[in-house]
Amino acid sequence: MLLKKRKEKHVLPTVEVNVVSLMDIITTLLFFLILIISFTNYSIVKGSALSLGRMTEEKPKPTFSLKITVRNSKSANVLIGPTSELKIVNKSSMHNYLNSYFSGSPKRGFTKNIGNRTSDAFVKRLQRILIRLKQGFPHETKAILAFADRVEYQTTVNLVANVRSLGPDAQPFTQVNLIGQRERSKVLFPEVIISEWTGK
Amino acid sequence: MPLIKQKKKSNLPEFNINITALMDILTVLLFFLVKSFTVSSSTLTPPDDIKLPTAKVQENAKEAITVSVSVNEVRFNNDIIIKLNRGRFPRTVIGEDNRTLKPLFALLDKEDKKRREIYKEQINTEFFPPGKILIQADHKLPFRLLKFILHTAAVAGYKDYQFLVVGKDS
Repeated sequence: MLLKKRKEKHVLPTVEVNVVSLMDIITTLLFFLILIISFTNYSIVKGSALSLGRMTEEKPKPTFSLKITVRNSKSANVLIGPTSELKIVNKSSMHNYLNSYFSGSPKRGFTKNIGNRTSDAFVKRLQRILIRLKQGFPHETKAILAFADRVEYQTTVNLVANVRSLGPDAQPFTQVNLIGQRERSKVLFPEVIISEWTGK
Repeated sequence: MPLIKQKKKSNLPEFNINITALMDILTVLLFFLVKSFTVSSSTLTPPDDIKLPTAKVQENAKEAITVSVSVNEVRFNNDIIIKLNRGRFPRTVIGEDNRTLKPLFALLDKEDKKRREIYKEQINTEFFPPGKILIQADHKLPFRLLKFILHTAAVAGYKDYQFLVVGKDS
């Protein structure tokens, strides 16, 4: 009878895992994440200057123009250029809206004065108008903001931010783009051109 | 003769210092210091006489020339370049167009030329992108003062404005 070889039980060596350095990393990471969050309470609001175009002999193409003239923190005038030759989503509905709430016509353009008792209410009202305009012109991104001399910097920044997009707490709005796709967005007119209002 | 007691040599146990954890801390410290000072908070700290406006936005500043404006002075990268007189710019610093601030224009123009010199071999300078300028201004500053800064920056080729704000929850 052959002796059976005893198979030695394969015993894995016990290994001690040293978690000290891991705990150190985690503690340090946590500490610096907290520090970094307190450093980055600064943000920016973007704007741009008017760029001069070049003279051309070609017939000027019809372009969308939106100008908001701000007199103070609670009132402004909204001016929309001629819209008759522009690409508009749901054109008849947009023209009905403009004819109902604005003065003017698609050939000459539209204008409206808006104002409220408080600056917050004024900004909300302005944004409602901008949302409606954006729904008609989802592909347009430029707006001109012209400020009167007495407007304070806080108002300037506030309006630039609110014309660019809805705030982080606001609900996105639904728009249909030129190819018929529905999308939800908070972006209004992100290319804000800052100008001066020289009127009375 | 009494036996002299032999003093036992006290052999202190060997003490190995494990510096692995210390190296970990130092590496992570270094990593986060480099990351957090890329757009350094020290360059974003406004002067004492400026209280920044608040806004609910979440966009980080990009590296740019910093111009700080208060009702007392204008600073260019933290150096005072213009002192206002009772909240108005002195006539001597205003250009012939009544819109441009001469000292600010000179500095911005110099920076723009440097920028173009650096990139002229890579980019056609005819289509050179506009420069970026970071504006720190007091929240009560009237637009009649700010417009000088904006106009001067635009004329010098700095048309991309970044207005520094503080988060509204701060």
